[in-house]
Amino acid sequence: MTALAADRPAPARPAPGLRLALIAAALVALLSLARLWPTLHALTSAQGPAEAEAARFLFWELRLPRVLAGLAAGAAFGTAGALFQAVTRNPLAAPDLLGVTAGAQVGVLLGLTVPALAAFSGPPLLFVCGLGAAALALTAAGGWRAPPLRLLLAGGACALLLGAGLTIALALFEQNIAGLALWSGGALYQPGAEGLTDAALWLLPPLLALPFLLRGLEALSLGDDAATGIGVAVLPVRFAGVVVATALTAFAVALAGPIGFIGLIAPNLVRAAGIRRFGSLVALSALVGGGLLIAADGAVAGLGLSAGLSTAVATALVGTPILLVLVMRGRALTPPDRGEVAASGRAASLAVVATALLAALIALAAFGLALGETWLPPARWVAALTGTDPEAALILGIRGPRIAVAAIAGMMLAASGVVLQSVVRNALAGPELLGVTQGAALTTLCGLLAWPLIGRPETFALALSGGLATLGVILAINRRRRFAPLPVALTGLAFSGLFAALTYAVIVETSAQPARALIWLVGGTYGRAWPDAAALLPWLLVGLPALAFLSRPLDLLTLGDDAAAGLGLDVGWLRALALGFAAMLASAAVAVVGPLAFVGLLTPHLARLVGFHAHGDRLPVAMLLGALLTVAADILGRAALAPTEIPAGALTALIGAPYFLWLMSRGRKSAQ
Amino acid sequence: MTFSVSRRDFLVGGLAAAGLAAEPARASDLVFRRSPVLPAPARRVVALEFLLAEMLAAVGCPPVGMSDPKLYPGWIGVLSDRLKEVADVGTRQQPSLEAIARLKPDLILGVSYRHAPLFDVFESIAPTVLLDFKPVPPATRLDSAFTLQTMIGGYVGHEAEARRADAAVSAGIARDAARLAEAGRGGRRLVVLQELGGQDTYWVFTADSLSAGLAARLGLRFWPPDRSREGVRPLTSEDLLALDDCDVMLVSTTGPDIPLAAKTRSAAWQRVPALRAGRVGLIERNIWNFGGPASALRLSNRITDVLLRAPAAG
Repeated sequence: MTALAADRPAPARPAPGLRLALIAAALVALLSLARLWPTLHALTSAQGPAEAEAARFLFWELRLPRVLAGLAAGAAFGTAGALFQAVTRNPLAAPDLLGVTAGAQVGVLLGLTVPALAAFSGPPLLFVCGLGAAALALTAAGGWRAPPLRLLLAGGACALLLGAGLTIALALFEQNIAGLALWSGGALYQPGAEGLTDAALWLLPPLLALPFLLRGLEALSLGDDAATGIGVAVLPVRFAGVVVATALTAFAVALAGPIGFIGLIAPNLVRAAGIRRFGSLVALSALVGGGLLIAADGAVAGLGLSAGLSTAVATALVGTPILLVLVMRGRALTPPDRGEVAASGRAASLAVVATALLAALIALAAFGLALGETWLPPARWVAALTGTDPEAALILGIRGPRIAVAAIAGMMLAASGVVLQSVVRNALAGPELLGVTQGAALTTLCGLLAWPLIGRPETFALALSGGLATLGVILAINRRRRFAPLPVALTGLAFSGLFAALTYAVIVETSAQPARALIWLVGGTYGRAWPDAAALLPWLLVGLPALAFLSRPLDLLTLGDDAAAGLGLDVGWLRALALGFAAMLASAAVAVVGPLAFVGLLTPHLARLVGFHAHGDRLPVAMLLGALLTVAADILGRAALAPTEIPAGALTALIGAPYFLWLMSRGRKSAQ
Repeated sequence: MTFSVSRRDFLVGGLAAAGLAAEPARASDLVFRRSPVLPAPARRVVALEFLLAEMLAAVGCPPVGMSDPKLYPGWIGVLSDRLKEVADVGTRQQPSLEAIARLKPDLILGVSYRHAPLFDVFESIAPTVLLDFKPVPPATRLDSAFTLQTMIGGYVGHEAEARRADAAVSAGIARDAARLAEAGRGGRRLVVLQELGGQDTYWVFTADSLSAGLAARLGLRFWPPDRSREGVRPLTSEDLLALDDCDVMLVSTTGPDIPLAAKTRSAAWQRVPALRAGRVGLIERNIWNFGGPASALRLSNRITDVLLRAPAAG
């Protein structure tokens, strides 16, 4: 029933875990040696006391601690990933699931801006802030009894919320926090020997607790009932697992920066190699994680690549191909839990809700046209249209297209999210997860950098080719298995990590001041004009009938592959078609508004929380919610701190995430 | 009254070429994109980057609106008193179009690296020029700053003021060079770092930066020898270990309450030869390296003061 269960008979060969562990350990030792070799060589061949002293310093105080820090952080990421994936029974869960990375980023920001904290800045502050963010997410999820899916969603929403706050700070105080953007690229901290021993102390408590948790966590993978049956206290074990994994992640993020990707791929690599026993999985994940991180760090330093190509980028470059090969070989990939948020009963019929949402959208748009530094009553709209009020015409020409673009893009992203979550059968799916958004963003950004004066058709062509090419490769890789959900999700995740890292690398390569480009990366409606809205509209209009056509087959698909096939559905074709369609909608939206956060990922859940499950109902509700959210973000971003603009991409999360968390907690109470 | 801009370019470029035989930065290289017709002269200018506001203030025609006026005193702080009354039009990256439109400007000045995608939107409000100050080798950003200021003086019809401001800055830098020569401090290598707030990671200003241009005028040698796209590249304190004949200027990112000793506690810093020799100087928080000629003069003064306080080379 899960990817983690020990659901096969014991392998015939003796102790494959041990054999693999030896191979992995030897590889890691070789990597470390290769990394240290130049300094070691200098140490042995140094001539004269001064040179020997310098070489000793370099080896003992800088290089060796750096390799050890990399190993420790990578191992902590790997272990944390294995633990989180066991607790949530979702092989796509990453170590920064509870928002630890975002919390650590807040720590970097605090260290930079609050002079009183400057003395504590660096790993201690990041560690504490990472733990704080996880505590926040855990509270939002409903405390220590929270079921796995709620943890995943609450963690995601909290991470988006903190990320949004950081983006706003970046947008407002770009100059003050150039260091934050640099840190976010994942530069391996160089603490020196002394700093490393201090940091190692934080590792002790989680490491001591770990052995006592292994049996319980392994039992969890059988399902809550089965675990209870063999005498495991499910809730305490799960909670302890979350706490230990979070502490490990906070340690790793504080030391190595935001590269939780390692913790996502390391356990999946180990599982794909055929390891099932949970203890072996955890140990090997730690080894593989450590090896991956120093390999990435070594690639950056050893190949003489520029400092812009940070550890995060190198990690993605090293990890993605391995993950892809494993997906193509297709071992050990059983689907995860379906996972849905416990839904409250439906509040009202579709017609009532849709009409109400549409009315709200129109009212909000009208309000947005009027609101601003200059209040524009409807009378002046008429005057502007008849040409008697040029000032009003100029202002409406600024406000109008932004609202239109926000509404259209919000609908497209939400629709894309609904379709993807159904096809991939994972609550964490969304255009972001499949790498479509990142692929489109990467090609668009490269195009904009190469030809800064590029026009709209070219931008669309770039975004669509990036998004669709990503999807094409994902489909090609998964064709043989008829686009089964989990391999598709894993492939997509691999690409999204790679492209996000490459996008960051491109930004850092082209500018020493990444803060500027990060604002673009957040996405938004700033400066959009009528031609942008006109360019976006056809994609939505083409999309509407296609969505109507797809909604019924998608309902059947949720019954399971066999049931759907029994009802005469070609499951493979349906998945490919729906994925292609979702990718097209998301890519077109990215071409105009950039990779807008939250809308595609969480509006489908919002629609379900409001009580709509069948696609025919959920699609229009989610789309209208997406439009409402994005338009609200646009208006608020323009007016809240005027004349200072807040990127709408930050506000969609800032408005949407708390509402989402509130709905979740309300659903919980009514369920009890 | 308007006239064709290509002619203006030619005139300004000619002035720059006549003034400096080596032709360090050509005006036409510094214009990224512009409206075909500009007012002559412009009276109501909106400046969307600190150095543009600084230059307008320096030539005696402060803008009617500028980006981030509240942050200007803390990061540039040069000629702030002439910019006190200027309207706020939002951030440098995403200025408020409505705030700009409300000022009814006759010229919008922006920069290529921030505002290239916004040219059309700006132009629907007022004639627009997007500037680019990447110098052509061997020129530096100091040369670009002088050329740009002359050009901007031309846009607002203050050519004479622009020439006077240039001369004053050049004379000030020459005075600093004389002070250094008198004290026998010339000829050493200068390294200028910008603190970013991270652990042991900095920007170092490269051979195309304003600092490099200043070093040449001050009679100092400069490190590093390489050029970069924006005048800076990342550097860690470890990279300073091999430099044993340098004076290092660390431009602070914090207030004066955090001293140099607190910023250089790491193991690597403790072994940097310049720090051991007392040749690392802390300069107050600023981004003069990304400013105009007036910022350059302020930076020149600070560097000279710090160098003269350092122990004599032995």
